[in-house]
Amino acid sequence: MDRDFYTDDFEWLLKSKAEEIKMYPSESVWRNVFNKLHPGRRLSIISGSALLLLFVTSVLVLRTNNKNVSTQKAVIGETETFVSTNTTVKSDQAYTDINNVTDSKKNTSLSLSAANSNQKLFNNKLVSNKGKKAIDNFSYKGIFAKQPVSSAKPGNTLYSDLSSVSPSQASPESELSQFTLSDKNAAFNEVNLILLSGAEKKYIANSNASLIDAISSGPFLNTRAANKFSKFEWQLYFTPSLSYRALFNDNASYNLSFAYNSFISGNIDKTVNHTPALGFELGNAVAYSVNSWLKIKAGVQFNYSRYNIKAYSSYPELTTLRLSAGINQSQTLTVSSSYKTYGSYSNATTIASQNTAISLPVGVDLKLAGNNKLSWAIASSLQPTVILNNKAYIVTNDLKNYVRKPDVFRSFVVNSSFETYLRLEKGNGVALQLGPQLRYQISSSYTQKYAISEHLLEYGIKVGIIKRLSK
Amino acid sequence: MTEEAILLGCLKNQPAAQQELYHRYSPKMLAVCYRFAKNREDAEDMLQEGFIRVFSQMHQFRGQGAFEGWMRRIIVHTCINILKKNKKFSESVDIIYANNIQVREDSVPSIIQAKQVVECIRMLPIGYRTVLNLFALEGYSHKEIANMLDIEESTSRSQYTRAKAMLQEILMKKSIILKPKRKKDEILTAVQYR
Repeated sequence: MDRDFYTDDFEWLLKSKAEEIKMYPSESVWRNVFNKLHPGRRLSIISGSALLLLFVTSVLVLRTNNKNVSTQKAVIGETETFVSTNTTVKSDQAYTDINNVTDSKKNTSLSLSAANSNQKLFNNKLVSNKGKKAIDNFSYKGIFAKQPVSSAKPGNTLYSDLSSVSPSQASPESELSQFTLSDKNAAFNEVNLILLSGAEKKYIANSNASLIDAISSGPFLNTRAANKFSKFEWQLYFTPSLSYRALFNDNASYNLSFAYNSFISGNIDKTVNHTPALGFELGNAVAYSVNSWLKIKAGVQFNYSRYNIKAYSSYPELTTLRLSAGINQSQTLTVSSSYKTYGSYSNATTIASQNTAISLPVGVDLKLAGNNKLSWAIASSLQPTVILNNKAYIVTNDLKNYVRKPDVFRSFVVNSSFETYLRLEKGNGVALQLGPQLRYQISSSYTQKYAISEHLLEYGIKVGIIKRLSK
Repeated sequence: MTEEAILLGCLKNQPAAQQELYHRYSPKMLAVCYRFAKNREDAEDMLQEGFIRVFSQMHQFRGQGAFEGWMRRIIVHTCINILKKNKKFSESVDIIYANNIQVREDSVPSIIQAKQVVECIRMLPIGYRTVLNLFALEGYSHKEIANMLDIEESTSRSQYTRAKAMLQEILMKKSIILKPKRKKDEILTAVQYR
């Protein structure tokens, strides 16, 4: 094709016209750029949210559990039902059928004894809140229950259906066996029954001494709690730790061949000068007891790891990271570095290689020895981990410089942990645990393409508080 | 805010300075990306990647020459790197002869002035377009282009020649430029704007 124009003029035309164009990118472009440049801001929101979630979960679990415990104290079938020692329970439901109490029975003397005349069934000290009012208002004494308690167990159950208890079944020994229901609604409009404290007992005593006599002198069971906890338990733990790392050079002959000192080839530890530093772990987990000695558990935890690097400040200089790009192929990344692995004493400085991470540990606990009060166990877990904020340094292939190159760092790694601990039961479903823990990062901090691999190590003392969850 | 202050802020990783720099240059740089890209979305991806590189390599800017030129080079290299990941691009840029590529007249957009020219450039096959962009608009030499695209220098020259011829044809078909009537060494570029 013949050229009909002077090259310069044509090119000038193209260039001048092209330069006039301006295009405005969408907002999302800047947002993405910003997020990439400042991952810490986004990730600190994530980690903050995770910690908040952890905190809220903890509070909710504790509150819910406390509520359950107090409620259970009131629920007949669940906790402290006081049955005479010889009691045979007629029904396996502790159910007080208010509907069966007809008006005609309002003034009926009811007996709270079992079918067997020797089997007195008492709800020792159990009086409803409003029942207390009822006592006050109507000057009667009695046992009131409204809610059916489905989980009640034979042998541990309040005699059901007050209406079916005939006066003949009344125990002669108990003054409780007779009382007047002068206000059925007040008596039965109860949701919760409470365990009377000493003060309340006194209150009733003032109202009616005979009731207290009955309560006090009755052949009651002791107040040992029945099995009120589920197989789940919740754990909150904190592990101050010493963080360190293990460095390996995967392909020493290939990647360290141009290390600046021949004598150091193959042994990175002789070149770099690292020291452990303090880190920590904070998390919570839910464990499920498979049986008396085995538990499986899962949770979420936050980790902060760091170690110190003795480095030497220098003017910024360009250095390269060499990455494997297949067999006999490599790719180089040029980066700027202001820290060397060697230098004069006056330039010596300490820099911290650190990161924060969120993990989802899944593991098992194995009880080795102990009793209901004190036990010894070992535990292990695998922890898929997302690195939130990486401020770590990487040593270059030639072992001369430290650089920050987040592209080379993985954002997802897998950790493992091993621990042994002593567990001390504190009562009411609360336990403490204490023991050493080793956490090891199975996958390297760096991408597989990089010849050097770094595995973080954390030696810590794990302190935990455990709360058995109620049924 | 002066450019110097912006650059200093960017070196200190200050978000406000980075945003200012972005807003100042992104319209021009997106136009650069757009000439290389298949569509606007791809151009924005290139711009995004390019700016991330600009900010992360800011410390390498030594103040020799204009900052815009330095940044533009990074953006262009980013565009090329992204294009090179596309296998079709590698194949197309290496084809020397593309005589059978027909330009459909009705596909020339009816836009005016500068946009006309840019859209016509974008109608070229991607290999031609890239070489033409780099040589005519970005000022790279054929040697540099050959290095960037992993092709022979001669390939770059021939690609450019054909790209230019094809572009001229497109521009003439749309009467954006006039076809010369006299001997070629007597004519000057005639440009007719609508």
